Amino acid sequence: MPFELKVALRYLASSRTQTLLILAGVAVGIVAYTFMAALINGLAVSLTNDVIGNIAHVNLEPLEEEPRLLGDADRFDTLLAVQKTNERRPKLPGWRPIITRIESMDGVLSVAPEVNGNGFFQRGEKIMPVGINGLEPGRESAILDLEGGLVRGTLSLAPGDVLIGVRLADELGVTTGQPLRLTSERGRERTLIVRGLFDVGSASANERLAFVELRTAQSLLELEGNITGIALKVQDIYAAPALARELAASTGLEATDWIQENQRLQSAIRSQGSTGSLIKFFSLLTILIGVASVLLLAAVRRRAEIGIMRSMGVGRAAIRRIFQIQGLLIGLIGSCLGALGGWLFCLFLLQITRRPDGTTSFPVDPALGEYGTAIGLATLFSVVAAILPARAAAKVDPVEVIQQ
Amino acid sequence: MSPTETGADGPVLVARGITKTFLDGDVETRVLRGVDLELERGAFVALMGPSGSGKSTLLSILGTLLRPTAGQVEIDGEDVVELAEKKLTEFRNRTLGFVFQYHHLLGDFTALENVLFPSFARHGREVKAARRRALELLDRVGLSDRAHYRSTKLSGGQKQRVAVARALMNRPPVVLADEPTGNLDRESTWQLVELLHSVATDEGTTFLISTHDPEIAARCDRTVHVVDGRVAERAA
Repeated sequence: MPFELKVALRYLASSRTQTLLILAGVAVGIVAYTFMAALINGLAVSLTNDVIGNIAHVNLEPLEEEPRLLGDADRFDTLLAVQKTNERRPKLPGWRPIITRIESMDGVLSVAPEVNGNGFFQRGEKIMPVGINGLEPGRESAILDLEGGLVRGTLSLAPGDVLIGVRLADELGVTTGQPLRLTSERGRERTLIVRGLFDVGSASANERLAFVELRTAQSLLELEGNITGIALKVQDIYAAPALARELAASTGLEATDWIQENQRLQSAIRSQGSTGSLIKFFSLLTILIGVASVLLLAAVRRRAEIGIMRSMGVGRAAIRRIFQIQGLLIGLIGSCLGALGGWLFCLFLLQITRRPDGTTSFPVDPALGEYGTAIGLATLFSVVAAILPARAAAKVDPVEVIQQ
Repeated sequence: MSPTETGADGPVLVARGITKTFLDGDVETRVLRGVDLELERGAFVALMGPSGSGKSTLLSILGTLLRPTAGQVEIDGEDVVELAEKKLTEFRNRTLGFVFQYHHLLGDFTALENVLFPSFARHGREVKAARRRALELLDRVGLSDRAHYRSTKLSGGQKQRVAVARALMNRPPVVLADEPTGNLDRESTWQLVELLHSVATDEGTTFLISTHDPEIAARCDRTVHVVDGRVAERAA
């Protein structure tokens, strides 16, 4: 064993109370660090999952048409304004080969054609606006987890069937097996039979969405054979922007990823992350100050011994190493204990906030405690903290000490 | 190779014109005023003088712990005054042993580890041959049965004997002892003096012992007196 390590270990062991206290200090700092990481990261994941769990990660839509210029545009020096054209709705014919190709791409979880529009249900005097969504058989839960959210009835939709949310059913006073009259934004009407009721955890979805078989939607929205877009989900949600760019380039469609659609969520997550980073930094700073002050005191207390070591031919560098090894050991052992403590603390919090259905009211995720980073940074900060005491110790003048 | 390794004769320590001046603000204090000194190999020499005469300063300079203001010090054939800090530390570890008035043992280590310390510093770790040497030295100072005792558990005399064993660990040609018996009773004092004398005889180690005790000086081969920062020598 290198003698500097031997001396460092002996010094730490002999000042037992002081060593235990500083180890506890480092450990508590790391408990705070890892808990904060597990909370902020857990919250980010929870928020993201809540938002993206029931939405497409990438949406592909036809490009909006540019307005056609009448006459000879070259004759005009100045174009005063470009007005959006409403002459024709964007449609996506020939969509099936695109879906087949996207399905075969790596990292794509699910793909579904979209036929979306608006309409309203009428039952007696009651009129409720809804978003009409076409579902292709076999892809009912490709984007929105209707299977998981089905509370009554079936997902198998035939032409003339409809799935509605529990709130909408409640508002209209209908249940499965009963007819409902739907009028689309194009003015087409159809009487549909309620085949299932869903609760997808979102009040607006439960009140404002209606799902019909794809061809029924196409017929209601005057989109026979066409769709309004393609929605897909991917394995790595943070790879969605790259995939969106790739799909836009290869299909010529307009591709929008979930991050673009949820800028405020990203901003909120970034803000939380910044706050968490600040708290984590202060935890590390506390460790640095604690380790530095303990080792500085040790350097003062050990002055006589350091002087004797110097007289025996122990170099200044070796004296510095003795104190830096102490800093390293305090940081490493304290942070390992703190990481374990932080993990156990997160598990404990999860346990006491667990609801009867197994979910938790506290979004802390013990797996996201950044334990390795915490241990690495705490050890680094402790070694840095030891620099000042190590320098002070190495400066001890043996003559002065011996004469005292 | 050093003269020790070549077995060359001649003085092991030569000091010429050593002066030392301390500055405290504008106040200049001259402690040594041109000290000349030669020590032969295996010599057992007493260094005497009243308090404040400069004995400890001279020992610190000869021990390379302090640089002289002027003068030359050659130990074991090496001019040490101009040596760089790192070289000087290595030189001190290899060539010099120290015994202080207060034993200055490392309290967290056993007697054996204390004796081994100069070897630790030299090799960076414990080596087997050094351990054998340390155990032999502890046996020689009559403490082989206390080898694994914490140094804090030893009596004053035992601690000082461990300090002597530690000073001899790396077989230095020169050992400097600054009032090594100052804190010992009469019996322990004589045991220690006899121990140092026998080492000087057996191992050819040169001892320069600072003392106020004329009886110890009488036991030495010669006595060097330091008066007002100058040396006045007298044969024992």
